[in-house]
Parts: sequence; structure tokens; C-alpha cells
Amino acid sequence: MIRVSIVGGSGYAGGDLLRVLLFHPQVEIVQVTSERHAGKLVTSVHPNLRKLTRLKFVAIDELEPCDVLFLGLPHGHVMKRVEQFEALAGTLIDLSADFRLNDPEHYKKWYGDDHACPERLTDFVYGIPELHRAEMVGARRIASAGCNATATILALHPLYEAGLVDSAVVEVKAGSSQGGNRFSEASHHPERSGAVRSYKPTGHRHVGEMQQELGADNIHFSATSIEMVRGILATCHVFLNRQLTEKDIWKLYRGAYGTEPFIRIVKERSGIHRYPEPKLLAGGNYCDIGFEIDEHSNRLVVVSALDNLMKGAAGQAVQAFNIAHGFDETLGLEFPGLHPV
Amino acid sequence: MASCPVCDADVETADDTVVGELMTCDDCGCELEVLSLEPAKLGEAPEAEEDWGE
Repeated sequence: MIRVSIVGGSGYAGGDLLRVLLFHPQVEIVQVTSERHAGKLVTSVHPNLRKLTRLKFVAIDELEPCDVLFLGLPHGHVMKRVEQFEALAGTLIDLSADFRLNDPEHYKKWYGDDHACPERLTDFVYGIPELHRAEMVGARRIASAGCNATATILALHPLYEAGLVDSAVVEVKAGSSQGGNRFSEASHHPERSGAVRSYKPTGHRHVGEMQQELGADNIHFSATSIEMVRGILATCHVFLNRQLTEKDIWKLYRGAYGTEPFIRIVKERSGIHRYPEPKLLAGGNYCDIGFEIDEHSNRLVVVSALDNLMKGAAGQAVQAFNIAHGFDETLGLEFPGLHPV
Repeated sequence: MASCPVCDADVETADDTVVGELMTCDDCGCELEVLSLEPAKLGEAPEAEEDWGE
């Protein structure tokens, strides 16, 4: 058994990490930290886990050595304490943005501050398994990818890799859980309920990850908050540099993702679920991808959907953990979602 | 074996498949009609149009 502790386990991603890891056949959860809730049962914050665990939150300073630390702290915290965490565990899987970008200048551009330990940025493998599986095998440092970045990168990677993109405009519809579990004026129910809020028309920080992983700067990204708790729907308008048919696109995506356990090409000719829908993916680790080409304008619309707390955070981190340890990468992640929900 | 006329996926035909039989493509979900057997050829099966509010 791999002895695992979760640092920053009171947030939504921490809750999903617990939910997944409690059923993982190769994992023993040793400790879960929360400074705010230290001493309380984890079920006081994550009530869906009642009768499944009697673990109590501890403070970070009470952490004991273990094999793997999942780090669910807010951005900017891990890089300041990375040596403390490295002294406690051989493997760190960081869900924050601290080690996602390889270049310190990029970090400063997108996060506004100098990185606390720029020399360590390249120690971490960027955490999208579909792009970095080989580097993850045996990896001791993994930086789990951002949720919007994951939805966009997975949608567009086959096209960028094939050199087919003139430019891409991506619009993400995002659920409220992206904002974390701390309330604000913006999340106050009378303000948030029913809102369709353009919260980042330009300059979203995840664009740095998209540019890094797709190797391009011709990606234009906007995000809109909608009435949804979990989920992301990314609609990517791709202007191609050559004429392609739908069969060509099928071949490209089938070649890229046909054997991937958590990516499904969803493009059906009939029925009510013809394209990816985040609602069907809640709680699971799948990313569904569909597409349609406008042959008159040569605009390809690629649509991807995922659960931001799973494939966009905790689930993808566990998938990376499985690969790093040589386990079947679907272990603990078999939940197929609910229908109807 | 035949290929789906919509997405080009391989679609398996059985020994007892007959011309006119309807099949479904596993990849794109398109309903297909067996047009011929030697060689196996598939076409899109006609379907009732749905009203998607257009």
C-alpha cells in the first residue's frame, strides 16, 4: 500500500481526492490537513464521506512522513514550502499552479510575481497524462494541470501537433466550483444564482499553460461563469490552415485518443446527447471531445467537456499518481457519472 | 469488414449479414444500411428529421 496524505484537504478538489482515494485499492490515507478545520472530522466539511472515514483534519505542522503528498493548497503556497514537503514524502503531486509553467518569466507574466524557487520549475512533470505519460512513469514531482487548460489543451492538441491551426478562439463555460469553497460578494447567492457572467474575457492565467503545452501563442481564450456547480464546456473555434473533411478530423482524433482510457470522442448523428455535455461527466474522470466542421468557412468547432474537480483536478492527479507508481491508470477512477442527474 | 461512410471507422459485418440490414457505427453512432456484401459497403440509413428548434 502507498501511504498518502492530503495537504489542504478541506477544499473541493481535496474533497474529491478523498472520495477517490478512500476507494483506491493501493492507497492508505494517512493524514489530511486543514488549518481552519484542524481537529474536526473531515466529514464535517465533506458530508458525502460520512461512514466512510473517521479521519480528522490536522495542521500542516503535524504532518508525519509518508510516501506521497497530494498538495491542494491555494496558488503561491507550495513554492514557499516545497522543501518542507519534500522532507516528508518522496513524491509530491501539486494541484496548484505553482509548478505548471516551466519558464519563470512566463510565471511572472501570468501570476504577477516572481516565482519563489524558479530553479525547481523544471523538476515537475506537467500533469496531463495524455501528453506526458512517458515522463510520469516513476516521476516524483508532478504539477497537476489547470481545469480550463486541460479542457482546452485536450481539445486542441491533435490539431496543433499536426500543424493545422491558423488560430483558435476558445470560449469556456464554467461552473461555480472553480471559484473554490471560500465565499465572496461575487458568489453570494442573489448575485451568483442565474448569472451568465463574463468573468475573464481576456488574460486568463491558464492561457500560459495552453501556450506552453500547445507550443503556440495563437490561442485566444475567454471564460464565462454559468449556472452550474461542476463542469466545463470548452467551445474551440479553430481556423484551419488547410481544407479538411470530417473524416480527416475523425482520423486525427481517433489516432490521438482512440486508446486513451479517459477520452471519448462524442459526435453522434442523432439523439439528444450528440456532443459533449459536462452534466453527464460530474464525478467522473472523463473528458469528452466532439467536433463539427463548417466546410464553407473552414472553421472547425471542437467541443470538450469535463468535471473541473475531477479530470480538471483531483481525478487527473490520481491518474498521474497511478501512472507514476506503475498501477493501471484507471484505478479508483472507474465511476462513469450519473444519468439522469 | 466495411468502413463507416460518415467517420471512416471499421465496422464489422457478420457472416449472416444481409443486404438492407441496419447497423450502428460504434464510433459515431450513425445508423447504417448494408448496401452490398461482396465487397461489403455501407450507406447512411435514412432517418426521420428531428426538430432542433431551427
